[in-house]
Amino acid sequence: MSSAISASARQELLGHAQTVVQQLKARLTFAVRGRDEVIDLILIALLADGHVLLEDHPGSGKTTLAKALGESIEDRHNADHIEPFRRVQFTPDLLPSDVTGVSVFDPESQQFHFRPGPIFAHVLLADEINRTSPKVQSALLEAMAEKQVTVDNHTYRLDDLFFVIATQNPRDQVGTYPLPVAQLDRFLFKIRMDYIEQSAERDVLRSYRDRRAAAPANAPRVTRDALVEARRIIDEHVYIDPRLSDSLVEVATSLRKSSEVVQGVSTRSLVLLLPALQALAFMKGRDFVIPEDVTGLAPHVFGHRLELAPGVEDVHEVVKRCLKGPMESLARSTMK
Amino acid sequence: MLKSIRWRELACALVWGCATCVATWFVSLPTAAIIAAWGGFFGYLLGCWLSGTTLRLLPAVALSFSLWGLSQLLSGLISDNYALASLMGAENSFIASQWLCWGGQALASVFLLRFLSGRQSALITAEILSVTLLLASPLAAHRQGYISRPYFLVDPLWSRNLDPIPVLFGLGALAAGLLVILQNGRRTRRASWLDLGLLFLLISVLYAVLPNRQLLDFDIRDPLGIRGKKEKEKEAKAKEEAERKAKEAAKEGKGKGKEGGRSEAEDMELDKPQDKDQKQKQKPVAIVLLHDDYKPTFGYYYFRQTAFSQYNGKRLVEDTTGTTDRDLLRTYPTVGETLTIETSVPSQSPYHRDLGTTVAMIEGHTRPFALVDGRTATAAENPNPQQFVRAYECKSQVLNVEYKALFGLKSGDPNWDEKTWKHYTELPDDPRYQALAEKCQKDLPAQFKGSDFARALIVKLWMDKTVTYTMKASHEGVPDPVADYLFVNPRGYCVHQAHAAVYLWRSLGIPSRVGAGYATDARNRGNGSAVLLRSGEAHAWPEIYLDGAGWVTLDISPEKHEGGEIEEPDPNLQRLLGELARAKEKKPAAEEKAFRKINLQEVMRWLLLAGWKLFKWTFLFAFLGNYLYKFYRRFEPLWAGGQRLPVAALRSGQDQLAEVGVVRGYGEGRQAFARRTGLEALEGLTHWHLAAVLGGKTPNPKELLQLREQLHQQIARRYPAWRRLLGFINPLSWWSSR
Repeated sequence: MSSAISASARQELLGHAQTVVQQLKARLTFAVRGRDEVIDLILIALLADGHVLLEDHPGSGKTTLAKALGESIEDRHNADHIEPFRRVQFTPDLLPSDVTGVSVFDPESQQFHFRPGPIFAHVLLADEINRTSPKVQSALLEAMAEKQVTVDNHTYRLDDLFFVIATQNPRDQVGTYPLPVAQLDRFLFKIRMDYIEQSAERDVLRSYRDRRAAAPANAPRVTRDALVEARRIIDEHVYIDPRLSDSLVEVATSLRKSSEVVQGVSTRSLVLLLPALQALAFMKGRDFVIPEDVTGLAPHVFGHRLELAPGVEDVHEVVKRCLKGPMESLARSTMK
Repeated sequence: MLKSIRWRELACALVWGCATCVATWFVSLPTAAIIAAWGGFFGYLLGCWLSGTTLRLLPAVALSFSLWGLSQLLSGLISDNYALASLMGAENSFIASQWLCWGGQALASVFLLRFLSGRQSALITAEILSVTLLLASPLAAHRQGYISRPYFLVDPLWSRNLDPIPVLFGLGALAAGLLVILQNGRRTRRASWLDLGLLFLLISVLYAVLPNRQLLDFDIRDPLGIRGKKEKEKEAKAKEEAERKAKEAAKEGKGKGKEGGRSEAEDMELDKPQDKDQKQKQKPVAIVLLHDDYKPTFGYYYFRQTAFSQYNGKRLVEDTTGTTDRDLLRTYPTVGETLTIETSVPSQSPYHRDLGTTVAMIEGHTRPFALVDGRTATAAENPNPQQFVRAYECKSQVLNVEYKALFGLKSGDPNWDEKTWKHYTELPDDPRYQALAEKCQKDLPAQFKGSDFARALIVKLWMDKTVTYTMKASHEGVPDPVADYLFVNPRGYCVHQAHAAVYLWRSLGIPSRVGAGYATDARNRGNGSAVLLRSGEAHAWPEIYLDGAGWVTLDISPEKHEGGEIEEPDPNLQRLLGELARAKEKKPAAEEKAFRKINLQEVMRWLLLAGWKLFKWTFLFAFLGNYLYKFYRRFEPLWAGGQRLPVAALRSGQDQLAEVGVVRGYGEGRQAFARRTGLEALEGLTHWHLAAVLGGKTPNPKELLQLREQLHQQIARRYPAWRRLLGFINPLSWWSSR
């Protein structure tokens, strides 16, 4: 815990960050109805500096969501002219340079100039990521991991706020290049979006016209800098007890040992999980992480990283079962 | 393959190894049994492995059968092929073929069983059944409760005076344990291994509580345990009393005591039929161990207990003057004492050799006996007080020459005085004796006319031809039963024969007497060194005195018999008793004593009792300690402070909830639990607890105590008083509170 500043100053900082997040959330929930859980997870990923993979059916609102997120962020000192939101539809004939950008010869200056691709954005929607070739996939995944792209031996940094929402269709698998587990590992969450509830759906239809008209103007937007600052505050001031991080190791061990799992979770996933836990605790109004945060997030973080034994279907159930032992011993250790 | 094998499966494989080893042990070489054990072990593991793979049933069965066939084929090839056998050597080829045969069988069959039960869990029954049969097969002889079987197991125990029952019980328990292991091998819960402990506890309780007859009480005189213990004690007392009286009487020179404890040898009367039932005749009296191989000249071992030499006007009785018949062993030697007997045989007799014997008495006897002619008697330590009344060692001089070597000897002793001569030659005043004796002498060849032994012998030979042996005859109501026997009805038993022979010899002036004791056929001994004496072998025989050879037995052996023969002794009984009598010689006495004192059943009872006492106190302490701890936890918030308070407050609240049966589930988060109960105060307590423990916050104590009080009230509102009271008394309520 940061002891350099007083408790009240800390509360103030956290309060600022909380305002930013609430504004963002208000805009998103206004734009997309009935997806509160998904919105929370996306916000967590955004605050934890991770990326998400949405798995759902077409027309479930993912583009709307991503677009709303991009439009909620404004960049007042946009020196690099980075777009708040870009969308790339991944197709088999896409080339890496279509994503990263390309150097173009300028006959006037007799020099090559780099023309940034769609990847230079705050929020990038990579639609149907499994439809493109592994070459393009890996170019994007490198950018996600390193926050930089290399074109013609020249490295270009991406913005700190670079956030990718990738989607894939779980059904229509013909002619696709499924992401291998090693690449899935780079996404913080894989979120399954099931059909929304009837009441929410009714709400969507009723409020459609109003929202289309009012959406952008209604709520205040958040600045890129405020968002980056919120990230920093959460990282510094939300406390994770060593007992809790120890129990994460226990969870990973129990997953690796489980007979239902062929390949267990990576250490990277544990490292990625920590900021996500902080973000979740923060969004729940706490400045410390509790075991319930782990039970809430672990299925989303570990779900797509596990290779299950033949015959085992529900990955979330497997994770929940493996969580029980470590969570129980953690709960007991807090009583001593 | 290695990853898929767990320690449970290893344990089961070991069980199978044991089973195949035990079953093979009794049909093949020990090494082959060990190979079979490995076969069973690996067969099981192979079955485990392959049943987890996608191998189809048919190929697995084919694999098993081909393994079986291959091993049998190779085994046959090795043992039958001349070239191979001669290359390896006959013995080696036999061993190798046995290894292949049994190892292959075990591997193939266990593999198949495990494979099948791995695919169809109900087939575990087949596995358990097979193991049961394999384990039980060597003990099949024990079925129907034959306590003495199987011999290979029970005989060594009995010969060491150990009770086989606990061993059989133990084997049963071991087998049951193996089966439980096998049955549990498939389950995943570790708690199921409790069964095993419970099973062993049950068996030990059964063993301690069920009545079972110990070999320690085993009485060869009472093999069926018909007589009660008290009765036996009474009997033993009476016996001691009788012995004491008899000794006193003997000291006072009044002859033997008439009360109880009379042996068969002393009971013989001239005028009563001696027909006793066969069972009584078989009663063992003593076991005699010969220290050296000896085949008696007469074909019988004679053990002299007493002698009748004094004519009392009706029959011959024991000498009452105390001057003659001093070669008798009249009392038992006491411990450390060596009795020297005034034997009639010169110490350097050329006709005798020395022979040591050990006599272990099974029946109480008023007087000891010794193989003729006893010279010294020393008390020996009782090798087995449960079996034997006492034991002593005798040194005897036994006749070691043919009869013809004795032909040159004069009868009687030239040093005897007139009185002694008269004592040994007195007979009824009846001229028929001498007339008959003289008549017999006519058949004596001329060259033997001067030999007293030959003259006596010709009388014996005449009697052998003339008299009939029967136990049924009685010569009651006549003044001289011997005359009645010899001249009227020559049918009678040993006492009649002995008296008749002695009277005839005495009429010829040859000093003679009736020896009494036991005689047993030398052939009964077989090849062993133990001679079993039974009550039916009590005997009386005529003896003559030869100068230089002492008293020589010259028994009548009638050619005509009318029943009364005794069966040969049971060779097993003779051998067993011999081993028991000999046990002392093999082992140091102290070790034997310590060994014998252990009564397993007693030990088991004691252990169980001690365990129960320990349990009682432990339980009491645990109970009280449990209550104390429960109340400590319940009221801890009253005194806990600082960082401890949030923990104590939440725990106290959770304990109170546990009392009414509301508990957090396994792996359930504390916050989730608090939300589930719907008790706001609990949510507050949980929040502060987590904030304090995981967030490093310091909550306000007042607020915490307030929350605790609120929770108390909320619980009181929601649950009825009786429910809360019950929970409050329940000492175990806090166990489920996590």
